[in-house]
Amino acid sequence: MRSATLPYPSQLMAVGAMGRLFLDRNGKILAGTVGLIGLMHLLGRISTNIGSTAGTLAVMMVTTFDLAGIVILSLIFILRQANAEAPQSMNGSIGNGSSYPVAMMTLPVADGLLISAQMFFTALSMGVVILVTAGMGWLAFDKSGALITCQVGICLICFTLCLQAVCWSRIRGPLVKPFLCTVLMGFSLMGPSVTTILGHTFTQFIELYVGLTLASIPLAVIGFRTARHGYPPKIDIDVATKAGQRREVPKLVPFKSKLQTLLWSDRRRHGQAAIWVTGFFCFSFSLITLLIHWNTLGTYGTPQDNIGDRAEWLIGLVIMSCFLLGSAPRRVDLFMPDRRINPFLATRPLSGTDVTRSLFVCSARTGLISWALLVLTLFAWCSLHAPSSPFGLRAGSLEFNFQSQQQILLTATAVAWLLVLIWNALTLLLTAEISGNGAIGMSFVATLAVIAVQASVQHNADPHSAIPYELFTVILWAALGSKLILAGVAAANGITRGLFRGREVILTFGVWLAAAVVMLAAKNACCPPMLFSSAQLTPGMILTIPLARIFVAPISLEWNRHQ
Amino acid sequence: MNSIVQLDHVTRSFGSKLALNDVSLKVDQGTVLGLVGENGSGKTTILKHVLGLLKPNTGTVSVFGMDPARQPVPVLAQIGYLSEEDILPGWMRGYELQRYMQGFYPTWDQEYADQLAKEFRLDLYAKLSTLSKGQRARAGLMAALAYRPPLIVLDEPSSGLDPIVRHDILSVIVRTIAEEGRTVILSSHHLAEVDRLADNVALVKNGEIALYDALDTLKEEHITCTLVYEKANFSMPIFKGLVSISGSGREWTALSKGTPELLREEAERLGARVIDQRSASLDEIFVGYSRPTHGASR
Repeated sequence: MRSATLPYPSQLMAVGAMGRLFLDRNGKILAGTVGLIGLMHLLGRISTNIGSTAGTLAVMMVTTFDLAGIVILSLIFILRQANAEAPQSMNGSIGNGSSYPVAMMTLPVADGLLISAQMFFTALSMGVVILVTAGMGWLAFDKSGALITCQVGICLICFTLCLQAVCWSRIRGPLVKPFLCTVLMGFSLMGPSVTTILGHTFTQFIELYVGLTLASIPLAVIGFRTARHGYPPKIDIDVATKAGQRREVPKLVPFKSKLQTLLWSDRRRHGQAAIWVTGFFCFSFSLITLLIHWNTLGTYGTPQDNIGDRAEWLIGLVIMSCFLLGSAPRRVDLFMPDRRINPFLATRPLSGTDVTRSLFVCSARTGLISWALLVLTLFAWCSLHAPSSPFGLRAGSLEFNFQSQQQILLTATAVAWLLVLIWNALTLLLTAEISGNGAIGMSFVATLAVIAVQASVQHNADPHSAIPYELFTVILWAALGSKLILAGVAAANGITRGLFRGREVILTFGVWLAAAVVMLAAKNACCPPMLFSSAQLTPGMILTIPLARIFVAPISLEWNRHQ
Repeated sequence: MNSIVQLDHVTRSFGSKLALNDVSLKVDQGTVLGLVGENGSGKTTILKHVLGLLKPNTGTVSVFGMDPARQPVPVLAQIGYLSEEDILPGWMRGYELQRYMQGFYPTWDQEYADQLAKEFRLDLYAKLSTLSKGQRARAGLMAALAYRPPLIVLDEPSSGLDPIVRHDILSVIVRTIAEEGRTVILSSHHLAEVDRLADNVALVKNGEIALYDALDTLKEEHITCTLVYEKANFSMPIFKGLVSISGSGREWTALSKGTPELLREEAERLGARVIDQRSASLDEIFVGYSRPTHGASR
């Protein structure tokens, strides 16, 4: 599987862009880390694929240092030319021989596209990008290939416009930045995981990127609208008054309720939480995938490829770790022992139920928004493969994994489950925030670690050895039991303290039960047994629906607010 | 007069440290209570009990007749709080802060908020995190006053601010009190502020209320004087009503509590003359009570 080659340049691109977005100490650390990782990548890959490595470095340099990037770009084009004149080296680097001609061809094309996009980044020449990408498609394939690569070029322009809107405008809105960060991360991190898990070919992977980019267009619109209307430019009040230019403060529509006010104010915090959690999921997925596929990585190619693939995965994990640490400085604060509820919020006339309700509604909304992007991508991906689609011209020459509607349904279910998992994790983190108890957040990390190890053991172990499998099943059911017990105890305690009424408890439990039933019905309808059996999936899925922490949150809020 | 705030024998400790020891206070409607005391004496802890952010170990706290820890919503809806710490959300802009506060307080007076912002020359477009400390304090005061709360709690409102900002803040508070007669609890190191604003003063010392009375009464009851001996006196003079004393040899400067007649009688008993006798300022009373009395009898 050579699909790991393209994601890393894009990861570096995302990391570089994140460094720009977070222009603080963390951003600088991130930029430094990018340089170090890029150098390691360069040294590791230089013997096998000069073009790919140079492309990676170029993307990294361009996104981190614009001016330097222009110089590097020139050098890269020279290198690409030299590489193009030696096709045998390219064959050797890919290692898949003639059985994967498309992958072989797309590798330099993809590098070229990214480079072209970066050209636009620095020179702002959209026409050049379209022409170059289309030309490369023409040269690499045929007319239809030119059409595809031209589309990719346009999508990359949209994406970079979106980036431009955030990086260089005065947008500092609570919504756009986290949203864009989520896009970036989904763009860079989810790619390799999804691709590897589902076994996509390299060209399909590009199409996935196209879908992601298409999905980012609405974000670009939001970005520009926000830049134009949402946040007026800052005026030095003294200067403006002297010059007689003082503007009227916009008359804002008052919030109708406390809940609406809280939701508005929590948006930023939740955006950050979404970034952190989404990134953490991507990281966990990659880790799980690495553990599962450790023995099969690189088996299609030479021994050098095998080593190279593993090294890339490991480097990828380091990159992702740095990405998460750099992009989510606020989340790290979560684990500080003296974290308390903000006194500004604590001195507002809010009940524990008000705060908790807003936290959960907001986390649900943020989770939905974050993951709607992925769902859009999948739809875009599916539409690309529809028989009537102009992009379907090349479908016959590619190997597809989604061969039936059931498999598409399965993927959609998996995505929906991911969405619920994200919501779960968000609410967990927010509960930890209001309770000031970092151990709650850490328990989530521990759970994922257990799943990763379990997945690895189960996949690689002797099928006749059932002990780890059975043990994991028991752990899951025990966790579900303890969750229900904790929820019951917390609910009773909350009623005793007067934090909520019996009717609210029954309503919450009813919603939880309905969500569980829907989820299990969906699982039974369209989810064939894969890695986990039904005995594991059932408690696993129910565990993802928050219940206990909904009842615990007002109690922990009361503890923290009235110490 | 109705008591808006009442603390009865409140004791609170943090681990082994006793922060408040049997504190009893009463703040009547329409009065201004000045809380003065050294750093770490327990002023902020008292205010946190009033806000319901801390629960007493023993004793009771009542604000508007309710326990603020058990019924935070109706209590906090009637309190305007300005903290010495910078607690405003830095990511909000000035006008967003107004909108945010509007959502919580139905009594929010937008015209009054705009008036205060104009008076303070607040840049409502700027993010709060980019404002200077003085501007943030002004924004905090705007947010605390614009919904016209019946009780205003000010915890070191002008701590670390320049004189101009202090003057601005003080002017608005004075005007608010004068025009609307609201109840205020003010904790401050700037005794001139307390002197100007407060009706009653509570001196907090080591978690206890060392002194609590009307400001005028305190000033009337305390006398600053200089005692002059015919010959040098190297032992510290101790007399009835003495609060604190300093000096050496022939001249000693004393703060005493009681009538001028009592002071003169005591001086004669010690063989000293009283000169420079006058009513003590709040500053002198604060320093006198804060300094050890070296066993002086009261």
